[in-house]
Amino acid sequence: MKKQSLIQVRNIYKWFITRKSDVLALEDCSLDIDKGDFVAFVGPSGCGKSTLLNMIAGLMLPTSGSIIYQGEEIKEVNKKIGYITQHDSIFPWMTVEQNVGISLEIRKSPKNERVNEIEKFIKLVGLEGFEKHYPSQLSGGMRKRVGLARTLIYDPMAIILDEPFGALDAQLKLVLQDELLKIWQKTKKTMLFVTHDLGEAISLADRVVVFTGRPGKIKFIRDIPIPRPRDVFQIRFTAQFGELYEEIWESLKEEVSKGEDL
Amino acid sequence: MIKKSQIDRSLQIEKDNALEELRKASLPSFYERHIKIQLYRLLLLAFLLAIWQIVSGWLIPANWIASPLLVVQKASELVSTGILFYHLKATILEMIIGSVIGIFLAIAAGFILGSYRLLSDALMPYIAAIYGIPRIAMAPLFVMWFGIGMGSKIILVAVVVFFLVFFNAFVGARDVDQKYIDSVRIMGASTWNIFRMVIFPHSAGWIFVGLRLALPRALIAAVVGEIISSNQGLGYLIEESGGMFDVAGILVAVGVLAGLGVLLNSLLNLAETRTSKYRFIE
Repeated sequence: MKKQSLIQVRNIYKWFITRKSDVLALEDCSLDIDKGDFVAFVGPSGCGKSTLLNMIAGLMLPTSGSIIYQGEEIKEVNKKIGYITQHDSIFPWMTVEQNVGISLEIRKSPKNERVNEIEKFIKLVGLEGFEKHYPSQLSGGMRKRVGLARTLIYDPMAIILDEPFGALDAQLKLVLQDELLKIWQKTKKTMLFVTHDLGEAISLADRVVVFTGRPGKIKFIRDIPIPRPRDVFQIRFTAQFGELYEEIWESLKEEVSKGEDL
Repeated sequence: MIKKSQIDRSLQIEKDNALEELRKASLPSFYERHIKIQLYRLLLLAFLLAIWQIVSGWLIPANWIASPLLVVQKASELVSTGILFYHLKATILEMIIGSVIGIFLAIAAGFILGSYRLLSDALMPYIAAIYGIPRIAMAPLFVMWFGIGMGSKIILVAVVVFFLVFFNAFVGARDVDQKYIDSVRIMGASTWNIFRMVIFPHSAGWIFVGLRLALPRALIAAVVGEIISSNQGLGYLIEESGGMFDVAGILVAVGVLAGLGVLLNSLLNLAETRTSKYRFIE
């Protein structure tokens, strides 16, 4: 018998009803994600990939279908998962260490334990010396690191990253991708990574899930057999990367150009 | 042989020294400007007082506009007899108690309505209707209901403060980005956690804008309430002095009110920089 997956998405449909129009965002999506997997989601804008992840996070419920997380159906906010969004949702009114410690404060963990943990995770993302800084005093890349530390600290089984490096410049993006892979290898978290950047998806993930344009359906799932550990700076120049890129892009292209017509 | 790094270091030190010299050289102009501003202010004040002193009792009879000297005389008389302090205390008490009640209720109501869209959408027309009433116009009503003592003024102050702060707290809470709330919900935050960690700090700026409008008006409300009907407070002092054609007495009370206004503003500035540090870093 096959081992049960960490996340099981079963025949999800999602309708958005508004005054102006009704939109079918997702149509019959099913997907299994195993513990420790690094899965990337690509597709044209508005294809519902963020919607699917919001439902895995329990911030939204499907119109029909079900999502099983660690053997339990998600019916409310999923507190065993981490969520990092494109626009960093770290709080501008808190310092770096306060931001990183939010979840510990919510859990009312003892003060000395809190201080140690915060220190440990600030070190993990390389932000020593910036503990007392406010987000407005940090660069974009540093704010991403704060968001990552804030999520890793409460040790969720899986982490959703919704275009986390979308707004960064190309070089910084590579540096952060590299760090993310290292942290992933160290922590063995399950990663659900949404991106617009196919290259990013291939360099990072074990599997790439391609979505169709609206209504969002899973078009196909491609395994990425590039061996690990990977060097995100060099990987783009390998033949294997090029072939995978071309293959997935062929199929993604149709969807993206369909989206243009809308 | 001298190493390259040593040369670099001595060059760096030279450069730092030159920069420091430049900084020092530009200091005098900075202080000069500061001193000039203070000087101009004092000159203007002296000039106005002089004009006032000359005009009063010469161009305009002193019983219409008391001269600065008469006002100072009256003030020292009111201070030494303890009358001024007695009235000041009443007005300040009404303001503080009324404002605290008003602010507390306003923030609570603003946050609740700001967080529950359904409730606020349902109640909005009523809130807008009440908001349209000039609250000061209700002063006589409050005097009728709650008597001529401090109670009616406290309630008037509370009502005035409530509406100005409420709308800001409401908008502040409503405009919180959902992603901030979601990011802590996913960590298991309770409603109280969400209020304390997200909604309150996010709305603080809005609330301070409300307080800046509300507190001066709270002072006005207390004084207007006292003028309409009371037995103590600065408004009563004004009303009583007016009844006796004591212009100097009125001017003393008005001067004290102006001073209170300035004091309130600087207290607010202090409170805002203390509580919202992150908005005041360069």
